[in-house]
This record gives sequence, structure tokens and C-alpha cells, in this order.
Amino acid sequence: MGFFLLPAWALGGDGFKLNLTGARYLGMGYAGVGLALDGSAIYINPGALGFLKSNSFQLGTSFVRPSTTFSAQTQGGQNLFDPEDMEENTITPISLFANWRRHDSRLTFGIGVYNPFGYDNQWPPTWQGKLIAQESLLNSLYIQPTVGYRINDQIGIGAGIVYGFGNFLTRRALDINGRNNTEGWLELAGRGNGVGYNIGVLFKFGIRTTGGLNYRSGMRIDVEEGEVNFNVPPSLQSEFSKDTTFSTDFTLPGTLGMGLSYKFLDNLVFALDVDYTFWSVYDEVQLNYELPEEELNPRIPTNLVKNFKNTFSIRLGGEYTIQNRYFLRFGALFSQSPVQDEYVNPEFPDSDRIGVTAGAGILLSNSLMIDLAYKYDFTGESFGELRERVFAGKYESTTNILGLSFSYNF
Amino acid sequence: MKRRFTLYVCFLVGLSWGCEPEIDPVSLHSGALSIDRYVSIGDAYSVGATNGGIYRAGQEYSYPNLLAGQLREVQPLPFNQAYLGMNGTGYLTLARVRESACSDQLLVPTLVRESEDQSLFENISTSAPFHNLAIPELDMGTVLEENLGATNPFFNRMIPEGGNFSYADLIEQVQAKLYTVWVGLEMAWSFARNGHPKDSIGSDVVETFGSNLDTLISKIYRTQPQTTVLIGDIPDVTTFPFFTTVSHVYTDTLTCNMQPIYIQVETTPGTMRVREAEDADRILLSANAMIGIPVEGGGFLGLSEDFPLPDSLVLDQTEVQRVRSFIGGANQRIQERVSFYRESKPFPYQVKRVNISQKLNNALQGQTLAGLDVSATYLTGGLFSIDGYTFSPRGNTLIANFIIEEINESFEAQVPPLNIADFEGVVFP
Repeated sequence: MGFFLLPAWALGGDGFKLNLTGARYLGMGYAGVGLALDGSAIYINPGALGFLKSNSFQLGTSFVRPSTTFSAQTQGGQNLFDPEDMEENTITPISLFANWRRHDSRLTFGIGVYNPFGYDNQWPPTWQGKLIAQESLLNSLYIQPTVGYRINDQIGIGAGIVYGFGNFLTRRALDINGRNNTEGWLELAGRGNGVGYNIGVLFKFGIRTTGGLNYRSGMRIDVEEGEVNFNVPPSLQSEFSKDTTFSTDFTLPGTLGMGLSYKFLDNLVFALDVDYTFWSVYDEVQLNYELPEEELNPRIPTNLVKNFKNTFSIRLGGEYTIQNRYFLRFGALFSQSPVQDEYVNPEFPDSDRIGVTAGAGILLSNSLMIDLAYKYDFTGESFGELRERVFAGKYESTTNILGLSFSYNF
Repeated sequence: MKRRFTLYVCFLVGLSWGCEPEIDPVSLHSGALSIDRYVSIGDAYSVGATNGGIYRAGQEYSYPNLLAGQLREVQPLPFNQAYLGMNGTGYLTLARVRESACSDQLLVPTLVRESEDQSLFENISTSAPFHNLAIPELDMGTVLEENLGATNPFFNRMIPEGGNFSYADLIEQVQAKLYTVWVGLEMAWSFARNGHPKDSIGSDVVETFGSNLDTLISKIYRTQPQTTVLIGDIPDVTTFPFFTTVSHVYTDTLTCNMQPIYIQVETTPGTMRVREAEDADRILLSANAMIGIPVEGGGFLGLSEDFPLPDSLVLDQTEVQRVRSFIGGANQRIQERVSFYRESKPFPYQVKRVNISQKLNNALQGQTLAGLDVSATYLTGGLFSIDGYTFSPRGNTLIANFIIEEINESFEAQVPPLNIADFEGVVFP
């Protein structure tokens, strides 16, 4: 199964939703529900498929580098220890879109493969929060066959079925010391899959204005054979090693998107999107072990509390075209964080983000286009605590993303 | 390379925020407190006794040494301890643990004693001055006793040979700007450890404690009125795992059936009677391996009225109260001395009580500290060493942090605390 080859991704969107489906979209600050730009409409709004000007094949990737720093603090703001940095991994989500329509048809077929959610957060192994999180990652890959139908010159609709795969891993140190300064650790990992859908509609209000609505459903990932791995001193092996697996499920959230675009000039278009993401489905992940609870070592967790909340995200983007060949793009966005104040876990210590983007594209020939985009976002300093574990401090985070995509139009 | 590339991109885009998040590091200072020199006064708990002994690796994690290390983050500071050798007095190690046959969660340890070396009898007074002046078996009744070295070899090795010193004399020889004084816990422990504290820990012992504490403080202040003295109070030793681990009912390891334990209790001095152990009685950790062993006469120790656990292996509820009333009385004396010096006219002295008893009690009842769970649970609670009554490096870190908290609050200082998760609890084989 190709699933094992999934790359590791990191935060860069709202929560751990990545939104990295092509450099054109990235350059415009992820605004695009009310646009019919390119094949990435399969993800952004399938309702736009019927309005795409040509058939196309698009391949994209991004280099995402998040940087996060943490300083333990008391609620009163007293610093405790010197700040520590999360390790900086550059990671590369991919996207692939293909759309095809017979020249005399209103029906468009498409397929999309993309990484909608993900993060891979690694702290130094001996950092001050090691008992809560040393490494935590979540990967997802969605495959979405889609059809779009242009009802008339004003309205298009589209729908896709989404097959999703997801996995997670979380590792933390255990406060069990062994000889020669060794320390125990515990790792939970699981993978599974699920099904969802993606529907949308696009309206053309006259020649300058376009509006869109899109709903991407949530997806429950069912995990059958989750694993518990650990490392403890030999004398405690038997205490931990009772062979056990767990089953669990977790839900990746759905999103309702609304977008509007307006052509100020023939070669200047602006787009405004508002997204609402139903993060509250990501609340508690219950781990159901084969072994009865009284036989389970009390240090093995049975419940991972996330308690995310629903979020808004607002994006504004623009594209300026020169000589029908060169494209300049820019965008700005604000995303609420789904992480609640008392549940800020160093596994995924998010807070509200502001981002800016810029991008450019060149049509190399009639059919080949290259797009490049850059995004910078930041959280500012914010106090967060994981109240249950009495772990609190200031976090600050920035993300640099460089996106690249190639499109072949035919 | 990657880093440079991204920075270049940041520069190109012309962002004024910079690309890397940055939180200002802690700015450290000692506030209104002068810490040019720090001296520790105390008993075995301040020496760094651990795992049933005193030895170099344990002393390195004494709370005064840990505290000195943190003060040194603020400014340079000498801190010299009277180290024993690698084996010192000998100490316990954990050779094996196994799960109890009847409870998955209960660990049964096998302890092995490492042999002692001769370092306890080697005079090291030429390495003076020492800044950790704590000595084991510091009985507050003998602070002024001349020639203490004759009965206390640890003390004897710190003073020049042939010197006829008392503990108070030793204190007077060193000058410092900051003192920590933590005395009385080892006394409380020694009353409780044999399971039969005598009636003698009555008011006279408490009075002697108070007057000798006063002697120590006045020795410090005689020549150095500007000095700061932090006095730790005494936690309830009967809540330590040595007294709380063994249940008052016996579980047969073959059948997992439970049955009562019979104990011998002293009703009036010299008069014993036998009764069933109750929840409030404390059966000593040292009795654990003895309960249920066959005894002469055809019975099993502790399992019938005819073969009760001897008084020396049980701290019965009356005795628990006796130990607690000593601790309560001594803590009252500490508070009185602190108040007396603080309110002294015309020049109040800089004396503070460090509320170790309360803070430690909170931790022993089970507390989460920055992601780390601590408790009084034997072996897995993290704070105590394998003897069940001295602290592990992690426990000593907690004590050092209590003092740092007090320094930071009382003197508006910013001395960095220790991250206790970095320090070991019990080391498992």
C-alpha cells in the first residue's frame, strides 16, 4: 500500500489543515471558492469545474518549514526556563489534479490526490515538555474522483467522493529512569481510512462577479490495529509488555467555504473567501485496548483529549495578468486556531495566525505553465496551557512555505 | 543551507517581522538578595543522604548543591561539600523488581547493599572551607556539645584533627550572605524509624530544639547582621513511603486472600498488648519481608495473636501522633524564632521561613508539575529513593525549588528553578 510512502507534513493552514493544493491558489492566499482558476478546483470548489477553460493536468508540491519556540512560564508571566525550539523539519505535501471534458459537453470529469491535513512536530528529546510530547505526527491522503456539470452559463455544480487514508503517531518520554541515565518512552501509532465527499456550486453574476459555495465533509478515520510501543528498563518489561493493540477512530473536520470574486479590470481579479471549519469533531480520541483496563499499565493512556473548537478563516487574494502570459499574485489571510486556551498541547501548539502570500506564474507555451508562490505566517507570542498536565508557557510560531506547480493544459 | 535559502526568501518578500519566532530569554538577577556566598546548615537530609547511605553520587544531588548551582546561574559562587568516596557509607541499589502476584500495580523490590569504603574516617579538613555544613545525625540537643567529632565521624573529618569543636563552632568559622537552615527532619525520622518513639519526645525535646535553633541563628548573626537566613520547616515524616507502603492487612501470595495483621502496641511505658492493625497504624517498610515468615513455635509472624509484629516494626497510631506532635511543636518554635528576629528592634533581621512542610505535603498527596506526576508512592512516586525515607535526586530538586520559589517571591529575585523532570527518581535495573 502506497500509504507507507506518505511524506510527513506540518502545520501551515488553519489548525493542521494544509490547503496546499497548487501554487496558484497558495499565491492568492488560499482564496478561490468563488473562482474558476485551474484543476485545483476539484478540491477548492468542484462547482467551478464546468467553467474551466481547458483540460489540464497539474502537479504541485510545497516546502513547508514551521518554526516554533516555547518558554515555560507561570500564569503570572514569570519565566521559568530559557526558551526551547521545536526542531525545524522541511516537509513536502503534494497535490495532483486532472480534469477532462469533451469539447461539446457540459460534463467535466476530474480526479484529485492531495494531502489535506497533517503535521509532524518534533521537539528535542530531552526538552522540558518531553513527558507530554517528543514527537507527534498526523498524515492524511485523500483521493477524490469528481464530476462537474455546467447547468448553464451562470451556474455550475460539482461533487466528488473522497477516499481518505490517515495515520498518527505520538511519542513521549516516561518518567521511568533506567541505569546509565536512560529514560523510558511510550509511543502510540495507528492508521486507518474513511470516506467523505466534496460538493460545490459556482454562480456567475454578470461578467465581473462570481460567487461560490463549497462543502467538504468531515471524515472519520477508523483505526483497527493501533500499536503501543515502549521502552522501559528490563526489570519493568513484563509490567508493560502485555501484548496489546487498540482500536480507535478520529475525525478529520469538514469545511464550509463561501467565496466571492470580482474582476476590477480584464486583467485584475480579487477574491474573498470565508471558511468555517468544523474542528469540534476532533475532541477526544478514545483508545480501546484489547486488554482489560485493570491489567493495563496506568501510564498507558486510554484517552487523548484534543477538544478543538470550530474556526473561521478569512482570505483575500488577487491576480494581475500581464500580456496574457505573466501572472502576479498576492494574498493575506487570518485563521483562527482550533486549539482552546486550556488545551494547548506541545504536540500541536497552535494559535491564531496572520499570513501573507505572494506568487507568480508564467505561461511557457500555449500549454505549459509554471507557478511559484511563497507564504509567511505567524502567531505572535501567546500564552497557552495544557491545564490537565499543568504545563504552561509562551509559544510563538512562524511558518515559511514555498510552493511550486506545473500545469499542462490541453 | 536550507536555512539560508529560506532566510533569503524572507528577505526578498521584505517582511519586517523576521522569519524566526523569538521569545526573550529569562533575565536573571538576585533582586534584593545578596548571594555572594551561600552556606547550608542541616542534617542528613541536607547532606544528600539517599538510598540508605551517604556517598558521593548522592551528595552531588543534595538540595544545597542543586540550589548553589542555580544561584551560580545568577552570579559566580563557591560551593564546596564534604564528599565521601564513591561508596561512602555504603548504599542500597535495586537489584530486581517483580510484580506482586496478587496485584499488577504493586512492585516488589529486591534491594542489595553496596559495601562501604573508608572515606568516612579520612580527615579532609584541609579541603576546607566547606559551604555545605550539614552533617548526619545532627541532634538539635547536641549543637553545643564539645568534641562532637568523637561521636560523629562525618563531622570529625571536616574539622582539623585534635580540634575540640562543637557544631556551633563550625558554623561560626564561615561567613556567608545567605544561609539555609533545615533541621529537625532527621530527628523526627529517628524517633519514628524504630517504631517506638519514647515518651521523651515531649515538651523538653521541643524546648531544646527551639533554644538550640536560636543558638545557631545567633551565631550567624553575631558577626554578620546583614545576612539572610532561610529556615525550612519540618514535613510530616509519617507520610513518607517508609511508613505508608505496607498495608495493615496481609495478602497471601499463593491464594491472594487477605487476612488481618496482629501488632504489638505499648499501652503504657513497658506494658504491651496485642491487637489487629488498623488503617491508621503504620507498618514499617522494613517489616514487609518479615510478615508471614514461619516463626519458632509453629506460627507465622504477624498473622496470629500469638505471634504479633513486634512494636519495633510498627508505628501505631498513638506513636504516629507522638511523632507528629514533636514536628508540630518544633515547627512552632521555628515560626517563633523567625518572628522574633524579623521583628527585632531597632534592626530587623532578614529571616524567612520556607514552608517546606506544606509544599511537600501537596506533592506527596499527588501533584502534576509541568507534565510530571509526583507522589509519595514507593518506587514509582519519583520523589523518594529506594529506602523510602530519603529523597531521590528528583525529590531534592523539589526541595531546592521550594527554596528558590521563596527567594524569588520574598526578594523579587529571578533565580531560575530546576526542571524537576530532568532529575532521576528511582533507577530501575
